Amino acid sequence: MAVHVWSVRSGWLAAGALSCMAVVGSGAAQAEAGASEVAEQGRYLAIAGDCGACHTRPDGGKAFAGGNAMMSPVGVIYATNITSSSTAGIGSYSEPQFARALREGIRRDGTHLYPSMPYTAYAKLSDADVHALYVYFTQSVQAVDEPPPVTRLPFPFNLRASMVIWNMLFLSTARFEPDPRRSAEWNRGAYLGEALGHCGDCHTPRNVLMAEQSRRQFSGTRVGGWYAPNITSDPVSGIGAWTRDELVEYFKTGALHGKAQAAGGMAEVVGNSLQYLTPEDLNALATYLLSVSPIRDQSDSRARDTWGAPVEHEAELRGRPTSAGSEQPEGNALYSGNCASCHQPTGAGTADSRYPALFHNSATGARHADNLIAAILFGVDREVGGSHTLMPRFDATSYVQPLNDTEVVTLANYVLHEFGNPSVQVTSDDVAAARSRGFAKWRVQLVDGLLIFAGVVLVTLGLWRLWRGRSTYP
Amino acid sequence: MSVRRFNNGDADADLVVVGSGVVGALIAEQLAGAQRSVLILEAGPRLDRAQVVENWRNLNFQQRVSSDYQSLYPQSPLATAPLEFPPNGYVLLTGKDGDSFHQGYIRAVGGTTWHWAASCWRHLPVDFRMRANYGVGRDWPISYSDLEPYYCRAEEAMGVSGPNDPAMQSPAERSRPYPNDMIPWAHGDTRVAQIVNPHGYRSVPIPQGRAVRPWKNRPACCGNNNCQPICPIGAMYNAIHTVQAAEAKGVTVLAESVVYAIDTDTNNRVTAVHWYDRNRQSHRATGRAFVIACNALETPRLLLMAANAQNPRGIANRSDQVGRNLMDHSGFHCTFLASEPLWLGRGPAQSSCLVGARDGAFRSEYSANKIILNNISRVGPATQQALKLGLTGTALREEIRRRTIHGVDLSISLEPLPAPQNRLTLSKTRHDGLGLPSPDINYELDDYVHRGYDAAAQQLRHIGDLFNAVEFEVTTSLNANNHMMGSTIMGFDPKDSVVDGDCRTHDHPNLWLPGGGPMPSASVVNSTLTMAALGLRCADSVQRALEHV
Amino acid sequence: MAYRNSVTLHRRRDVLALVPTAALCFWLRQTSLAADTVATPPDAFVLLSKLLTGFPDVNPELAIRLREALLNMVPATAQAVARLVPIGLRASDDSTLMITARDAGLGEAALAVIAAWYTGTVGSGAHTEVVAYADALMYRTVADGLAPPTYALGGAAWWVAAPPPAGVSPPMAGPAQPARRPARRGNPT
Repeated sequence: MAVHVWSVRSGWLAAGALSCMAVVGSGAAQAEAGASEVAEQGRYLAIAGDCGACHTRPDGGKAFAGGNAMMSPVGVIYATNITSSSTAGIGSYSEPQFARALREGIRRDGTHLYPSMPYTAYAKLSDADVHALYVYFTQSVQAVDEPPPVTRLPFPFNLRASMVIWNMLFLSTARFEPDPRRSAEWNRGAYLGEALGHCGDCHTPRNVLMAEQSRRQFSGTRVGGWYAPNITSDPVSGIGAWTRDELVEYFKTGALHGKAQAAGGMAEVVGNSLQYLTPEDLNALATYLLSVSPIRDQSDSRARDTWGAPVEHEAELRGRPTSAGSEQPEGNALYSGNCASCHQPTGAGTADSRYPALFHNSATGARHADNLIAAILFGVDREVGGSHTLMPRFDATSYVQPLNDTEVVTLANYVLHEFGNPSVQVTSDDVAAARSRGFAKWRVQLVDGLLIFAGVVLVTLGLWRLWRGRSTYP
Repeated sequence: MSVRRFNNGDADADLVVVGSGVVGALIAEQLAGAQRSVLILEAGPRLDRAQVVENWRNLNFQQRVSSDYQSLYPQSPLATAPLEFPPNGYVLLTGKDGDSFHQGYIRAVGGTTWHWAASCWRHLPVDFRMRANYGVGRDWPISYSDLEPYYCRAEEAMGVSGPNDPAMQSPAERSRPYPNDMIPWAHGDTRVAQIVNPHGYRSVPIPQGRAVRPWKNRPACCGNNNCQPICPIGAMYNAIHTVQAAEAKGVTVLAESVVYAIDTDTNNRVTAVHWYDRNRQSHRATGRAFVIACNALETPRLLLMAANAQNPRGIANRSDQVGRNLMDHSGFHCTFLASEPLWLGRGPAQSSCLVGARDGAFRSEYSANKIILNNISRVGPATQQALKLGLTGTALREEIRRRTIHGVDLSISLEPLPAPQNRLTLSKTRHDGLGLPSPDINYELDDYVHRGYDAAAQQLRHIGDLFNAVEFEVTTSLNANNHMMGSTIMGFDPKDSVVDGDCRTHDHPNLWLPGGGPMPSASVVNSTLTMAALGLRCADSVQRALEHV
Repeated sequence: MAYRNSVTLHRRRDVLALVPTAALCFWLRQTSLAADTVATPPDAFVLLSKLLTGFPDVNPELAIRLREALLNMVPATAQAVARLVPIGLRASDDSTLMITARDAGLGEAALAVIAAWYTGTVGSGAHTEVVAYADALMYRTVADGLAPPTYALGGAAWWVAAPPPAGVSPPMAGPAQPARRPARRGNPT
């Protein structure tokens, strides 16, 4: 991310700064230092809030220049350019305008943002933090004058005005209020989790109109081709059995040996955001998360990272023609030929855990097999601390071996039965669905809600016009 | 941009490529990217990586320890490739050194790079000028600098990791750094280099088609040491990666499609090729440009087989050089037990190589050599040896460990010169599953190679002493190294060469024969990168030619 | 992870610890031996295997497959193995076992059992049966520093770490080698 302290394209801001320098003299140096501190604070907040996840294209895109194509069932939503460019970005925004976009989802020209922008979470941001973010984006982020593609969804999903009603129903404008009964550390963690990190965006189930269900906060839900699990403090359904140090380890590295690893969207969260947070902030976030109301799913009998043990079938496989690659492949052959090289015949992974064990692994022990299927189809891709972890994908674009639906189903069921939760089964429908959901940017499920919501709006509008029409008749 | 298919199974494309190995695949991918319709006809089947990996694990110990890297690969009964366990007799070898030419190659989608060590060497600049510099062999009609940009492109396409320190490069003349820095050495490579380098043997990192970080959706190399016979995880470059990339760009690949005949018009332009499908039905593919990239044995075999009225000696064979000048890095092995544990077998199969004798004035008298430190796990040979000693119990376990961690296997490559009597011809009596003539190969090496062997053997004795070697052995007959070259040789003169510097045939303006066949000099280094570079240079030539059609 | 366990049975006294068990089995089996000259009871085969190979823990599933494969081989092998079993039960260590076996003309059979365990392949030449790959005992001798090929020992670049201590003495000069050795058929590069 290129960070320039003084951007010449910030319009009035630059003029103000220059006059500042000219007139104030040594005070300007202090003002500079002060301003750059605020900008630095804003930079940190932008990382904590993971703005780049949507606003910076992962394939070498310029920082915050937008253009990320988020596929949805109804069309493509493009992330906007939020660099300091006054033509293509937010360089011409005043601070109140910036705050309104961030917290209320309303652009400078009055149009509404789709809730794929998590303004419902950012609504909780403090004024000081919004200010710091504003300074950072308008003064430090290098201007990129290329406008990204404009989002044009087909009717009726282009009725952004429908967001007015959605916001009335679901947007709370309350700022974050610290809980006086809790420690400062807890409050910091709550602020990080709810306002900046917007964890609930993925981990909290949504209602039919795609708003977060606050009473089921963090209890887990599907996100694109993956499953954002229950991260409440419940020791069976959530992560209540983890220690604070374990959770911090997971945040910092994306992996907790013998328990879990971050993949899909969470790998991006760790790679783009969590790995850069201060130790104090990570501890605070962990403290908060481990206190969130436990939500138990009664069909969970044990924690998802406690299933399974080493088991191998070498003696059955050797010296007999393999069924891998045949019309009727068997699970043990598929596992041996495609997976055992790294995960070992016993599923124990390597001693250094860089290829993790498949037992005591939340991906195979969870009641929802989404993450196992997604890992097989799309792989695991995580860059943390300069080190790039990649489990290759096995979908149609695999450079190892593309696996068809029968192979994925058979393999997944073998892994679940041998190393994970043996009562979980997957079907080819699950796999086919994962393939089609998987290409979607994980946020996009939010747009599903617009399908329903637009219907509601149309009916409402229709009824309103009828009513209006009636009242004009004498 | 799409290949046209007809109801009778025939096809039409701008470019027809015969062979889906590294060379054919790279060319197809480039031309598809240039909006051309491209058809690849591959004689063999599609492979399933997991199946082949399991086939290896299910192969008996004796075959694995004898380096049988062929039996695990399924073959089409209509497209035979050589097998040795037991021999399938597909190739008949004659001549004084016929026994040194048992080549292994794969006829399947993706070709022979399914099993290789992924060693990606460049020729030296002088290798292109053997005649001019050393008075032996032939000169290439192009120079190293002509091919250098293509070497860079090939390294990028294959994801090569090589040393960016010029002191460790061979050659050091390069216009771009490697896509990735060298594969880091294990203890064995490091110790061997420390011991031999003060004596001028120059152990350098081998540039390899793999990376220790994820590379374009290929996983990082995990050092499972199985490069030959197959990389279980696809970290090593296999041409199937390029085939897949080509298919994503719209190339049509027809597997189990054996080309056997070639049509030419009155201008001797190629107009079509004919192929048999798996049901032995014949089909025709018409096109504007044709590339035959089946390796330096199958390409000349096809050209000779496809002789027609206009080209009675074979397609592209007015020079009578098709099939001649066959070369391989005929080589041998040196094994010993070192006096300190080297623990070879940790990491990829080949990571360091002694190139001190790769060049020098002596090349006017005898062959250069290179000495590869084989990093393949010694457990198998150690066990064979320990069992032969009749040991049991603890003594056996310790002996296997001792021989494994101290054991060294060096693979030495020599450089044959192109000779017209070293040639492939069509058998008059033996035929394959389709009734097409099987290949006969005659191979004789002269004193240039024998003196090179003697010089190398002396160097090896010295190296053995440096390690206080015990059970020091040098094989005395030469083995094949699967680097077939020379059989469609490149040159200025149509009277004594088959193709020009772009691998375009002298006889047919729209037929190219890239790969190992055009190479006029073998050098001592693995030929694949040079083949890939020639392929990319050929692709540029094809692209230019299609613009003028 | 059977094939990954590090070597533990180094010392003679560990082998001798088998003696009480062996003796017990011997006593139990004495009565059935007369009637059981050809069939080799699985437990006895496992015991024989442990002694011959020098490993205290052999994979029981593999033992079943290996025993079956041996019995399916040339009948002479099956009979020889059957005769080895009581010798194994009586022997106190592997050296004594081999001496007794050779005296009884069963040295080759004993080595065949050992070779099968170590290489994972039973038989040779035209008649072979593969019963193990990664579980072949030869890989266990160096499992602390090498994985059987096709398996990773660690993440990318794990091999740059120093290898483990040798744990064995260096090689000594052996008997003179034959002057000529033919090249292998397969191609290592």
